Amino acid sequence: MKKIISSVCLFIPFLVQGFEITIDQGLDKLTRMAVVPFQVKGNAPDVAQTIASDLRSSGQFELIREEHMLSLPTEPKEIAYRDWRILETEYLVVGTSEVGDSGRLEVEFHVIDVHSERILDSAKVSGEVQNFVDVAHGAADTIYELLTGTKGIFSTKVIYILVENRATDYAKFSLIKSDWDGARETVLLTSSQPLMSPSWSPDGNYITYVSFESGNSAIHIMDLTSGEVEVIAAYEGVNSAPVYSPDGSNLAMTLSRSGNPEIYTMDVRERTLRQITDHHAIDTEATWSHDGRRLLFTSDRSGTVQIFQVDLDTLMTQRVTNHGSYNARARMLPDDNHLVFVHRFEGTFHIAWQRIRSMTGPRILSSKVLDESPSLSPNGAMLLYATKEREKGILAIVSVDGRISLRLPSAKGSVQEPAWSPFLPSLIDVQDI
Amino acid sequence: MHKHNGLTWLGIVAVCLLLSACAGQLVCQPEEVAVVPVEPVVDTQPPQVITPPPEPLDDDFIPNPAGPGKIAVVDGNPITAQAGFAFDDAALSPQARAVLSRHAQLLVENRSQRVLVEGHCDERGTREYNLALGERRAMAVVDFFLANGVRASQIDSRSFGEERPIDPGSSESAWAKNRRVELKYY
Repeated sequence: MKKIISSVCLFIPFLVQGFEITIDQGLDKLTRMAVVPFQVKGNAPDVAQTIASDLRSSGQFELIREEHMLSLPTEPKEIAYRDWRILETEYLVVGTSEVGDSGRLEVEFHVIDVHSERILDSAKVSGEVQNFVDVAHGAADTIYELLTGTKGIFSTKVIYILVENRATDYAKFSLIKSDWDGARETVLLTSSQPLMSPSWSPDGNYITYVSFESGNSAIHIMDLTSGEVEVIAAYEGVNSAPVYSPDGSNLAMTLSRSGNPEIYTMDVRERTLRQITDHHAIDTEATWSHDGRRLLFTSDRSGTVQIFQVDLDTLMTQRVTNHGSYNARARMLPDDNHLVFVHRFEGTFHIAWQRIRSMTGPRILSSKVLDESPSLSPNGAMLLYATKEREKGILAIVSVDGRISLRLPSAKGSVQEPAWSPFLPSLIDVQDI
Repeated sequence: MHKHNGLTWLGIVAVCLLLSACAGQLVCQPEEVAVVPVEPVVDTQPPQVITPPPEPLDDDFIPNPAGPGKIAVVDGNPITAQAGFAFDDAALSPQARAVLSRHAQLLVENRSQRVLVEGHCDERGTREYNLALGERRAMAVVDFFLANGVRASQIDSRSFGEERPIDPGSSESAWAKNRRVELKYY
């Protein structure tokens, strides 16, 4: 395996701040619940606030504020159910936070159904004290999954591009990794030249992106553990849109080394290329089906910009979208039968959803005007995308069913091209008790 | 006016060809094609750069090293026409051709002169598609040069897609400025 290390990045953590998450639209009927402040023993960090904040930002729960609580139980036997029925509370979380003998933070909590007065689940989440945010997110994931049946995404990460001094000679581009809510950010890379198209390997250990540091576009892979960066495609012409296959063995990418932009796959170990498309039109923005057997890509071969799919065994190609004159940059949903993509409608660009080869056309999910770069959450339920607000790039989230939408502006500047991580190896232990 | 030192005989010629983009629209009304007037290109007097770059804000941060070329930006009254560089057909407008002919002639007369052709897009449409679209625009200019006798060895081309706008706004006029091909002599 050829390994060219062009640079080693120093990861510089910023102060924890995070995005200012605003819920534009939640479910019509939110589930009312309370996370009662935990009993904090000794100097253990408090995690209940982060748990409540995670659950609230899902757009599915209404969290009762502490000042409205009539009592503050920390274990099930202390609960006066009448206090919670008055507040129309459906679910209650009570617990304790302490540093155990091993020096680890141990958070024990109980999820209670107020109506039946039953404990639905009791769990202990533990981790290193300095990872208390991970412990809190892990507890929130457990509670979310218990109440909704869907795996929580509060422990996931995002990567995105921050642009400062745009449209000047001293523009600055940064590749940033943070928690899904923007907190605990790390600057992975800074450049005076554009950075584009960041995306994750399926194991979450690598990211791939496009950088113009050499003067032209080139595809890079960064090892997130060591910070090592390798250039894997720097051919003449465009080198863009790298995306890992679901098994991590290949990258789909766009290269115009032949004189025209075509889709290729590259074996990540051998660095061998296979050309997938061969057409004088623009072919780009490939993405994989979850079974790894097909690619979706954007092409203007039919006269308008549309999404196509190609079978990787036969190279048989079919048009997938039929409504409107601009459908691009697709991502496949986990069922491999639906996609989300950028759809132009009445001159503005939105994130839309449709079944593959649907005759009924797309359903528009996002309502801003320059919406782009949709990235699916690892549980398949939410979409992170980029849009523009008052001439500044911001990130936003919409649920795949269109019922929940959040905005996540960054105080730092203009942000774009978010990519949601896969589920990552856990830094914490969760056990039922 | 900003003055450059240590330049070749030609100095820095810069031009922005504003090309209609329809932001990747395929079925679109013909759009305005604006060609930025440039200073006459004569070999005794280097054309002037229209807008001097602002001073860098941060000394630690190295300014855009894209090359010695500075880019002329829209100023005055661009010539407009209802013809154009439609999306899927990379045809250059007559105005763009007129400007490019003068550049081609200079390149033919001075075989040691090299030029970098950069394609750019406005922010509408997806980023990776626009990277390919910017390349198509650059190639239209490259093809024009080759057809007019410029040698391939004199030309290099790049696309920056929508990543390097000259106007950060989201208005029609900002978009019109950002859809362009830049020529940088080096």
